[in-house]
Parts: sequence; structure tokens; C-alpha cells
Amino acid sequence: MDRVSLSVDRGEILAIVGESGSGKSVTALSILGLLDKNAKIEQGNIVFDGTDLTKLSTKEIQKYRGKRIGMVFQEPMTALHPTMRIGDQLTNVIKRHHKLTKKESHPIMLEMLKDVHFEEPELIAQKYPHELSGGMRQRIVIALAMSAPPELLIADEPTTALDVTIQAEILTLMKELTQKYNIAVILITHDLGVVREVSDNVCVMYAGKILEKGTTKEILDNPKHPYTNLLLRALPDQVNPGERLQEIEGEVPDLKQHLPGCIFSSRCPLSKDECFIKAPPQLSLSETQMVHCWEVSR
Amino acid sequence: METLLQIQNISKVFGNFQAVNNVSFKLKKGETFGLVGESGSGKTTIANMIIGIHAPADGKIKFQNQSLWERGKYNRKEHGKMQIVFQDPQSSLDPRMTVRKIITEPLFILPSSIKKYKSKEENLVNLMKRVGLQEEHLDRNPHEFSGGQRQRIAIARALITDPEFILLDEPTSALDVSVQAQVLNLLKDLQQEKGLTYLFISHNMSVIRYMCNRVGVLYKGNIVEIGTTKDIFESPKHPYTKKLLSSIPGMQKN
Amino acid sequence: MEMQVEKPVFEPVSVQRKSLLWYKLQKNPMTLVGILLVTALTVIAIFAPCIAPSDPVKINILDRLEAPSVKHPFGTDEVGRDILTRVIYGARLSLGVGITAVVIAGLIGSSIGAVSGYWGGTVDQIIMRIMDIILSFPTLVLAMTLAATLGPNLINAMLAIAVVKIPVYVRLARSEALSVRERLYVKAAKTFGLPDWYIIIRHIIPNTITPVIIQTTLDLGDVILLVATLGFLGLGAQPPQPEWGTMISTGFKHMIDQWWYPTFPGLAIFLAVVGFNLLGDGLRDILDPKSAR
Repeated sequence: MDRVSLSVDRGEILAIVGESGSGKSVTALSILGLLDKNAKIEQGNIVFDGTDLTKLSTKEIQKYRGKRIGMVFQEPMTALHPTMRIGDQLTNVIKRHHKLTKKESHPIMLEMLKDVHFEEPELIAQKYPHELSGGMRQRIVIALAMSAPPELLIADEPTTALDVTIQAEILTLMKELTQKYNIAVILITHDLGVVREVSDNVCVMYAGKILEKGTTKEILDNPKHPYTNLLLRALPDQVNPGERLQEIEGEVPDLKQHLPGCIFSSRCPLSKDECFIKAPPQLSLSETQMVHCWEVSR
Repeated sequence: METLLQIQNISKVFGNFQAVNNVSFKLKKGETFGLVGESGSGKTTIANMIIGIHAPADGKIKFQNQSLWERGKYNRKEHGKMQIVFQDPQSSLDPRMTVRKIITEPLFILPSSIKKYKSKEENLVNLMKRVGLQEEHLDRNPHEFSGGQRQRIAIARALITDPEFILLDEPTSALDVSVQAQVLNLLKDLQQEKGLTYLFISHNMSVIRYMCNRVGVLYKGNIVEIGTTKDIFESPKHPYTKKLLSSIPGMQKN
Repeated sequence: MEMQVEKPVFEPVSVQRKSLLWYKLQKNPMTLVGILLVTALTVIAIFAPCIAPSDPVKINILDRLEAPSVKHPFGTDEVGRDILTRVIYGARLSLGVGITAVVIAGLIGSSIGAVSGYWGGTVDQIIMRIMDIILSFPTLVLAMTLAATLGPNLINAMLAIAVVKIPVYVRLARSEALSVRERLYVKAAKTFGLPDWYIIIRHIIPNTITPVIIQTTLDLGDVILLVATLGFLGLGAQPPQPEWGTMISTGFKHMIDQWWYPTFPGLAIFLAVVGFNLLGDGLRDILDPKSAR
């Protein structure tokens, strides 16, 4: 993981997309200071609202976590207390964030549950996590993450473990809340369909490096980096049943190795000598679109 | 065309839960039939009944015109004609075995003449190459491989008995997009080469559309709609099918 | 679902594992002490005839009950046998009997456990209730009863200890087998039409063996102690066999005047038990991080 720089504005969803081993979760976790010590951020800094998060101690980052930065993970059960009622879990968090009494937080809690599309919040508040379905749990986790409300929400594969119909609901919900609370959202996903559905901007990562970023339209309709191009053509919904899917030869390289050239050169069908020797230049193609590639520069 | 696998009115109940309710469909030789459904739709239970893990409470499953379940007992005319590839390549390969042992495992039950012939080095090397692996991979352990490669090993294991029919239970759901493309292409090529019949179980509509000739849509243990892929995707009749299609994220609506 | 990390194929995983093992060993110096003790014990047991200064059963009545000296570093017993020699030969008996008992218990116990866990149902219920009954007796009492019933000698003591230890392995292997039988490779093997015995031998046992091996090292200390206890009580090795427990038993009455007689065999038992316990604990931490306490 080196030289990753991202920016996301309020009311906007930035999708970090990549395959496994691309370092997309690492990026998000480093923002939260959740990484263990041997994964130091070597270069670059994480600036959040003017503060460099890499310069803060673990304790100081704690303050940001939860209150100003919320987090939603793939598996909702890990974020919920298994033997505590939903209402109590939410109330506890609200109490802490807003410095309220239990009584005062109760109506806010019900309001939060309504926000995440529960028709009967009183009923849900009485339930335990195991009584809910996966999609309902994920909505609760979103409510928990939004309760501060934070300025930044990081969602790491929030719908990967869910059914498609539920996934659609959750994505709509996330879009809605982004607008309503005017928060910045970083959505980490491997699913380009999800990206098309919700995100405003996209950042394509591969083996710890950003290869291309831009608006969703630019990246999905007019990708410039060979990797993005291949990835899009590898999707089964992009071709007709008779045609062959695009394959990307080989595997994601070992992140520990330090390669001098472009990180994708070993699998890139267009790579030439210089791709293996020198790191590709950063090219701005528009106000928003940026790509790291020798081929594009030629 | 000749019918290879016939599912007739099968049902299965677990406790109070009706997992599968009166499901029927047919697989013609050489086609890919897709079974699509969300969690709890009963697709895994149907798979388990076909491959002999659970006995159906009711109904019949016929393979090559022979009933597979007789009074709660699973019997097959011939071993190795039916194979399966599972979703999770992490757990479907025994970590204590070498690839060679893994892919020759289905031969164990076959007559020794076939077993001997099939496990010849030349044969194994060809099989490995056919699924996109190399000769030297034969003596390694599964943990040395990536998810995609492990799925290739699982495919090699399924192919070694020259099956007529392979049940593909979410074969690419745990894989990355680019790797998924490799595996789907491989499966299509193999089907053409060997005239294989596939039952493709998935929750991913795009993959189903790409792979299948006909599709059955499962909802809470029932088949709510069945038809050619074109019909299902272009003019769905059942409200659930419509909901499923509209839920596909980022589907270009054209 | 979980997206697994795509690992490059040619990454030499075994090399990584080795250095990890070394790292864990360094972090846990007591394991090294255990390894040293066990290695020393093993070397002494194997090369007993070369190391020992004299013959363990040679009676030399003129030298009886001599205090430790250069000639007899650990002193001599009531018939003038060299105690150092007898302690060295005792290592052979204790280790031999201990390892055999644990191996028998481990083999039988883990096979029964694997079958029980894999099959489940009535077979499993019956097996587990029998094991509960065995476990409900205090280990020593049951071993004593069995040894006494079979007749007091070393072989019977070994068998008694093996029987007493079996339920531990049955439980351990069964609980592992319960999770292994749900793995897809077992399901796959079933769909190939492979018989149950094949699945048990090929898949269930190999994948349940790691905790069993750890348990055997943990149990070795315990078993060596049991062998000595039975010997002490006269239910194990019989004199003049140089078994530690038996030596303490006869040396016990000389405790006050000839302290060295029971002390050195006692020290040997102590070091052997500590060695195996440290090794077992360390192995568990290294091989099976989830059960580390």
C-alpha cells in the first residue's frame, strides 16, 4: 500500500473498487486506525477535515471513530451485541454521542429506526439481533453508524453477504441517508454493478495502488486504464451469452514485492518495456478523471 | 432431445420448515439449466437431493431414466456419471491431501481397470492442463493455490470420471470478477467439448443469463417461473422474477 | 460471502511457516526448556547402557546404602545398586511405558471419537455415555482398580493407564470430527459414492489429528506420573525393575537416614513431568492458536 490519495466531499459517495488483494479494505481501515502496527502507513497522509489522521495517536483516533467517522462492515452480526435489545444498543450510542439521558434518547432512537425504513420502530426496538434477518441487521448497523451522525461513513462491502433484493434496498437506503444527513461516504466493493447503482465517484484499486479515478460515468462508460477496461468486459452482464468473457491472465502480484514499474504490467496485454521499469505517470484526463498509465500517455 | 435428469414433484420438509415444495423440472442432454433463488429458496436442498445427501420426502428424481431414490436409499446405476462443483473452494478440497490425491479421489469407487487407466500420469497431466493448471501443481497442497485455481482443481476432480452431468452449486460466487470470467469460460468450453449437461445454481442473475439455456426461478421452495433464459429476462411473468430482475445493481436497462 | 485473498501461487508458504514457528518459540522460552528436558530424557533413555556407570540390577551388598560420592554420584540402595544407574534405566521404563500407553489411548480413542462424531445418532450416544462413565471415576482410582484386577505388573499398569486415558481422546476427536464432517470435501466424497470407512480414514482422522497430537504430549507427563504412582503403590513395575515409582516406594522407608535414595528418582519424575507439560503447552500455543489459554 503506497501513495494512495483520495478525497470525498459531503453528500457524495466514493466507491473504492477492486478485486481481493487490491488493498481497498486496507485503505479504509487505515483511515480508521484499525490496522495493526506492522502495517505502517509509510508515505502519504490521511487528512480528515483538516486534521492529519496519521499524526494522531490511537487514543485520539478513537475520538474520531464512531462520532465523526462511522463504519459499516460486511457481516452485520459482528457489529451487534448478541444479547442486547436493538433499542438499547441504539440508545446507548445516542446517549454517548449526544450526551443525553436514556429518556431523552428514546425518541431519537425511534426516529433513527424510521430513517432506516422500519415501519414499526417500537416493535423492532424490543427485538434481539438473532430475531432479525440479515438485511434488517445491516439496516440496524447503518442506524448505529449514522447515530452520531458522522461526517464520514465507511461501508466495507456492506451488501456482499446479502440477497440481491435486500441488497437493492440497502443501497437505496444508503443513497438516501447520504443526502439527508449530508455526509461523505466511502463505499468499498468488488461489485461494479453496485458502483454503477450508487456511487458518484469511483477509484479503481489494484494491488495497493490506485490505477484510475473519476466520476462513475467516466470510469464505467469511458475507462482509460487497461485494467478497468478488462474488468468491465469480464462482467457477464456486459456480453451476450454467445460471446466469450474477457479474462485477465494471471494473478494479483504479491503486495510485499516492490516492483519498479506499473503494478499491472505483468498482466497487462498492452504492456511495453517501460511499463516494467518505471512507475507510470499520473495523467489528468479531465477535471475529475485521473489515470496512472504509460499506454494512455503514449 | 433426450432427457437426462428429471425432477418430478419433489418436496422436502425440515421440522416445520417446507424447504422444497412440489418442484419439477427437466434437464435435456447438453443444456445448461439455471436454478436461481435467494437464500432460503431451497436451491441447496434440491442440489442435496440430486447428489444423494438428503432423501426427498416426496416425488421422484430420475437420472438417465432411472430413479435415484428408492425407499429412502440412494442408488446409482453407474458411479461417476454425475459430479458436483461446490461454491466454496476453500472448504471443498481436503487441506491434508495433494492435488493428485484430490483429483483421483472419485476414481476410488470405480472398477480397478478404469481406475488404473484414469490415474495414469499422462492422463492426469492432460486433465490438469485442460483446466488451466500445470503438471507440477499435482504434488502441491490446496493451500498453495488461489481461489480461482482451487476451483479449477475442483473442476478437474469432477471431470476425471467423464461425467454426463455436473451440478454447479454457485461455482463462482466466492471468486473475483476477473477470475469468475476465467472459470465461466472454462465451463463453457468444457461443455462444448464433452457435451456436458449442467445444472447451474446461483443467486447471481447476470451469471445465470450468461451461462444458461433455460432458467427456473425458485422462491421459498417453489418454482415460480420456468422458461428459456430469453423469456425470463425479457418478459418475466411472475412478480418475484420481476423484482429479482429489477434488483440487479447497475443492470443497464436496455 | 467471504472474498478470499488471492494469493500468488508460487509463494513458498512452508518457508513462512518455519520462520513463524521459530518466532513463536522465541516468544515462549518455557517451551524451549520443555524441549531441552524432553530431549535430554529421550537421549538418556536411548543411550542408557552407554551412559550408566554400572548395571542396574547388579547387587553389591558391601556397598549398601552409601551416600552420594564420586563413585556413586546418587548413592546406592539397600542392596548396593548404583542409584544413578537405576534412575537412568528408569527413564527407559517410564518413557517406554508412558509413550506406549499414550499412543494406545490416542490411537484407539481418536478412532472411536472420529467414528462417533462422523456417524452421530445412536452409535454416538452409546459411545459417549460409556466414556462419561469412565470419566466419572477419578483417574487414579480407576487405574488402580484395573491394574489390581489385571494383576500387578508393568504391562498391565500400562494397559490400565491406556484405558483410563481413552475417553479424553474420544471426546477431543469427536468434537473435531463434528466440525470436519460438515466440510464440503466430506460432502464431495459422499457424492462420489465413497464408503464411510474410506471417508473416516481419508478425511476425518487426518483432519482431527492435530489436537490429538498436542494432547498426547500434554498427557505424557501425566501418564509418567501415573506409572510412577502405580509403581509406588505396588501395582505397577515390581522390584527389582528400576522403575522410578517402585524405587521411591522401597526408598521411602530410608527417607530419614538415607535421603538420597527416594530423592533422586523423585527428582527424575519431577523433571520428566515438567518437561512434557511445558512442551505440550508450548506445542498447543504454536499449533493450535484458537485453544491457547
